[in-house]
Amino acid sequence: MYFSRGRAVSTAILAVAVIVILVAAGGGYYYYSTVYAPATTTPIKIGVVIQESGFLALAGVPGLTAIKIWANDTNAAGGLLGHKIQIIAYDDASDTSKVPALIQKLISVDNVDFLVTLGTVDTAAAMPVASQSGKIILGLFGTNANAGINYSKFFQAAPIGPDPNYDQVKGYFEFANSLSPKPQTVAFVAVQNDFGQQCAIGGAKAVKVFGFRIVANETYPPTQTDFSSLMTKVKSTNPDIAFVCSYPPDSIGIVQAAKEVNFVPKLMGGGMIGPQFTALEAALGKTLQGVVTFAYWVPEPTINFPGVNTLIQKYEAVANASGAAAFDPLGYLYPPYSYAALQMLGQAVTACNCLGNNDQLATYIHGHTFSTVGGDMNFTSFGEWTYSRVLWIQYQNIAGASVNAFAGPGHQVIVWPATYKSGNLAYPFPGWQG
Amino acid sequence: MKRSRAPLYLVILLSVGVALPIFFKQPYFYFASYIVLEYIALSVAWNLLGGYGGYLNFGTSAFFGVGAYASAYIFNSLRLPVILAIPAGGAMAALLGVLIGYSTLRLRGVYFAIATLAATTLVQSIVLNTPALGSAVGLYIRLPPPPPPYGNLIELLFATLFGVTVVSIALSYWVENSWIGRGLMALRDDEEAAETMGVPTFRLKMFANVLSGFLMGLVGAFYPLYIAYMEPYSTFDLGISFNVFVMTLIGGTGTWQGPVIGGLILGTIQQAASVTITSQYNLAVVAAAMLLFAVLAPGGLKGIFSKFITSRAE
Amino acid sequence: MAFDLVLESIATGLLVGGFYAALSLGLTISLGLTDIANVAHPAFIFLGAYLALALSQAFHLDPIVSGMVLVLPFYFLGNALYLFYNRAFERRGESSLAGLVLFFGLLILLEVGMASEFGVGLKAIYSPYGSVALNIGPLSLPLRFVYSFVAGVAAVVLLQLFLTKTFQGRAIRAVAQDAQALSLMGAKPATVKLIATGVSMATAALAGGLILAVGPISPYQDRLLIGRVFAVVVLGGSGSVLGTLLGGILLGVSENITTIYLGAGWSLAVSAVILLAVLALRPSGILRR
Repeated sequence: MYFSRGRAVSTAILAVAVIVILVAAGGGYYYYSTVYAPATTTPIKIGVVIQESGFLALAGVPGLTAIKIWANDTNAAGGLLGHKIQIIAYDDASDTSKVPALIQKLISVDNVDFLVTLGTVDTAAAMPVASQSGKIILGLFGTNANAGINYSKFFQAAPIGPDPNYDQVKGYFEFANSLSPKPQTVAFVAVQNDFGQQCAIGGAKAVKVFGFRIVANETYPPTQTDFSSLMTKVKSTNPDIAFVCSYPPDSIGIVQAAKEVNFVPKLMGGGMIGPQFTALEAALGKTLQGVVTFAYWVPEPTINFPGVNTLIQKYEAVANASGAAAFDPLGYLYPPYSYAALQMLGQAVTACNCLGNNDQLATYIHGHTFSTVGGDMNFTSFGEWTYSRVLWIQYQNIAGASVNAFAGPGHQVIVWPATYKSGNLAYPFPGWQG
Repeated sequence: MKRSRAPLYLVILLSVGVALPIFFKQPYFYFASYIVLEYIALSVAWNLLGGYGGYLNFGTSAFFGVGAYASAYIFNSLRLPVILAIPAGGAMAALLGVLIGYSTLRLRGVYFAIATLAATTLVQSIVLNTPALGSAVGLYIRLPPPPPPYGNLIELLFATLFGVTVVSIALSYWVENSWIGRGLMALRDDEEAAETMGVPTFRLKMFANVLSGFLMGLVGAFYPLYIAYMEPYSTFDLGISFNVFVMTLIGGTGTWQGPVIGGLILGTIQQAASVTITSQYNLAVVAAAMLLFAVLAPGGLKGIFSKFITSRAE
Repeated sequence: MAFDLVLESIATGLLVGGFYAALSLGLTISLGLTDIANVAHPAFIFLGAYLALALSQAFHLDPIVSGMVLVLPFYFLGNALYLFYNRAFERRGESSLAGLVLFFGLLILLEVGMASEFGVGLKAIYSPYGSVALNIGPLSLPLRFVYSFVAGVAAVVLLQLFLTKTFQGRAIRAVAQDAQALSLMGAKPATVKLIATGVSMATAALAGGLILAVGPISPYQDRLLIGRVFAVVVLGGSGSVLGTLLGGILLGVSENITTIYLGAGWSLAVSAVILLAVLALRPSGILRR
């Protein structure tokens, strides 16, 4: 007998264990479900390939949540041109190699009308397949994702600007240039991934434009745990400005290490992704005071676009409903422009009234400006924003280490650009608190 | 399989692979099967040293990635013809095999395994620090147009990779039934005894390692054409090495059929799960499948089929 | 290079090394002494970290203290794991290769479970010493690494004493060398491995607390640990607890020295080269078992 008793027992134990794990896991996970389009008229299908697991899930999950909120809002208002919205989303698990097959399935099997991806890497990998299909693809965030093909039907969600790697970071150097006395030297610290390197390339361009001198140019791998040596080395070059390009776990490590070795440049911050996430802000608390990072949206009164606060409220309701599994409870970084991109698409579809004709729709989008929860948006011929609205914020008035210390206006003060400025930069950096 | 009929089967199989995309037009099928074929070929290559020889290679992604980056550099940066880039990718990976082999194949198997793991980190780090290879920004690959009768580049890729997979399987079959294979299996079972019997163990291991590396690099050389945007993290992903190892084990090591079965079954489960089960639970299903196979068929699925066949014969 | 800078990098390298050693203890025991290649060990460390997070948030405990609280429950978890592994594989005389597949699958299931239960994003805990350093002369020693180093060294010392001075400990070391002889001496190999796996898992609990104390955690970071942990185990000599400490320190110091001379971007490459060199020249590690 091949199946002995011992084997049967262990299989049974294993099966039970697997089921228990899955049930326990399912109990803790809240999945905001899409409204399934009723079969009255053919639904408009939006195909999404996004990171619902893996390293980039911290961007993908809030982004997808915002997309689904948009779908529900639109369906509640009757849909687009009488058609309800159906979202078909596949998880690429933050693995680029899965993207081409998933995008192709959406196109040729699921017959979606529009495509959405998030992040440089996934969008760039999806681009050739999307381009061959002639469908419109919305790339949420990401830098230079369209640089390989220059597909004419790609549209960027985030207000980065026509020269993405430069426009993403130029604000930091532009306002540094306006400070007096003007700081002279910059130390670059960049993580070795696509975001970090694009950020550093943009920073190098900005340094030339605004006339600074680079005194340190460090890179580090994403797995770096302890930044004491790196920060001490940078400190020893005595820079006026620290320009850090980093991702969530290392952003936190760098801030902590800078405080620990008492590295106090006159301007501390940079293209740092990470401090914008609620869980990390709450863990650092006062240590973040004075640090300058970029943002796409913050709850400051100067940047109150129509509808954005309602969106944030809806988002926070969903995020908080998932209890311990809550992802970014405040949701300032990814949701607003994910929603805005879909809003733009919806407005274009309705106004152009050319469903099924992607060429006409793309031309329409290129030729118009749209008013969304992310403000007014219009596009260059290769799909980036015609102007840059990357915000630079400084953490101020942080009372302590809790989510509430960062919620609401007054804590992430916009110091640049002037149009949206909501407070003054505390300069030079007063030193580490907390 | 009688030896005399084997070349015939080979030709039939190859023709099927080449002709299919001309008649059956569903791009998604080709994108998804490409990955399954990729894993089958990688597993067959892995099995040459891992299954026959008993030396576990945990650096499949290093060989795969070296092939991918060498190929991309040659046809994308140097603008040389793709037809040159593919075998060059295989050759670079074979070179890596020589380097690793010389330093660690004279020792016990576990050191070779750890060395291949270290090699993956090393190669990935070198690429990250080399702007000419795209470093962390990545490489935008210029895709060539497909020659007729293929309407789509993916169809050509499928046909070619199919061919490479069939050739790898044939090579594996040949090795298994040759004195090389017998020597490898002898040293797998008892290396000291094999050496005393005069088996040239080191040379056999090196041969298997270099051939295995070459095939993995060859498979990797096609990757830039598939992904169109290549960056070091997904190209050198540890998951590739894990998957190949698991697939071969599930299918059964030590025979040419094992990795084919394992790659086909687990690869298909992975593809199907990614488009049917929501978000991360598709990983859980795949993992559960792995666990079930490991417990129910620790000697490999091929072993079950054989036992089933022999028990029926009794 | 300024002397202060070199001193700082060596000092912090030592601290981080102790931290790495704590992470690798469990694997050196399971791989080196019981011959169970528990690749899922990093996932268990993160399980410990998440449970420590829950404890710390609920009872306002320090993360390292939470890790210590979890040591005993994880010991029993290790026992359970060994019982299953024994029934499923060892009893049937199956090769340890199939066991590897089991552990890979377990790794993935744990990741999915943690992601579902605790969310896919990064979580962190505020601790009062989170960004505070101990300043000794020109050195700035981050307290979170100092405490992790102390905890790691304490674990190493305790384990070493356990393995050399107690009967069970010596039996564990013996089972690695000759299980048959051991059974002749009156200790059942299975029972000995049961204890060893329990101890291995218990170290994962402590390591989890340390990981939480040192920085933010996410369910997917376990894969990043695999390479490092294996490197530490091999450098130090598989099965040697003291070797793990030395291996960890070697890794930590080399990373930091590379940072100041070549740039942190090369630190992983240098570590890999060191590991490859050790494998080629002295494969059984610094302190052979």
